Amino acid sequence: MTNDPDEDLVLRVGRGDAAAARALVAGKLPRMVRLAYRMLGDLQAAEDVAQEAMLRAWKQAPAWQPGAARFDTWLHRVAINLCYDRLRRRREVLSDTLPEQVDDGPSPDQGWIDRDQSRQVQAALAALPERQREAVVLCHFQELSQTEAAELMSVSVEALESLLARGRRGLRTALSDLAPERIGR
Amino acid sequence: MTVGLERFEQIIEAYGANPRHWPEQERAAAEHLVAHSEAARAMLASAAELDAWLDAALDPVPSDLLAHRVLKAAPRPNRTFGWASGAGWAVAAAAGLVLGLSWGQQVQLTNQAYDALDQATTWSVDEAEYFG
Repeated sequence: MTNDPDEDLVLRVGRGDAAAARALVAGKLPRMVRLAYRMLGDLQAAEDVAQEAMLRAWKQAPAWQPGAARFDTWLHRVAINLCYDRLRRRREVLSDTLPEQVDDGPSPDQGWIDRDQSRQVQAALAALPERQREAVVLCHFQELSQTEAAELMSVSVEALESLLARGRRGLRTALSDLAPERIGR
Repeated sequence: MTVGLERFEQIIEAYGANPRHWPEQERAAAEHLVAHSEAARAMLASAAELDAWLDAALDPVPSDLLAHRVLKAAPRPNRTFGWASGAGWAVAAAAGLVLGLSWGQQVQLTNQAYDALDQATTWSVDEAEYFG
């Protein structure tokens, strides 16, 4: 047995265990939606990414090799790659159609956001360079360990800390511009 | 391991004020520094301001339909595997016996074989099992 807390569930899913599938969806689907939303700033796109990541997990489960990687880290990598695919396509569309207008922020009519603070945080995240955003999302919002995040991003721990520090400085600057009464530079 | 103010500042700038986010191998030493250093506590307060702002952001809630779609595509038990299991061998054994017995006994045992076959094949997954 490895130190992967999801290992047993994944192996059971691979054998077609319906209860294990429900448990894995309950634990991971909201987590993947949060990850993708923080990266993309779009709930519909986030749900699409989370769905695709879980479908890939279903394909992988029957052949899952314990000890090769923690399932949660593997699933994050799949979802992050899907997010980058979408960000790349979004850049291509924008460069073809709206070269002067780039806004990765959430649309104002997303009903589930009912607080300005949530929109401001998402706008500040969207304003970060993608790698800094990824580092902050993985370590702060998804609470991956530094080792897991560095491995997932294929960088050293020192490089991860540099991305995180620059990301947090960027967030502080952006949020102090958006809400100067609430947060100082 | 010890953590000085310079390294503590790096940790705070990268990971914020929540000790749960700090590097595991430095966490205890960093918490010890906080307990004994006014300067460390001041750094912590500044980072906590940003953390509080980030943590107050609402999490998106996935729709029920999304979970339904994902569960519908989850792996199902492998039926071929079922035939190689005990129930499958029971059916094969029953069928073998049928071939070696007289006609009168054959009818009775054939019925038993069909019963075993039913038991081996009626465990296919009910959709409702997946969605509670």
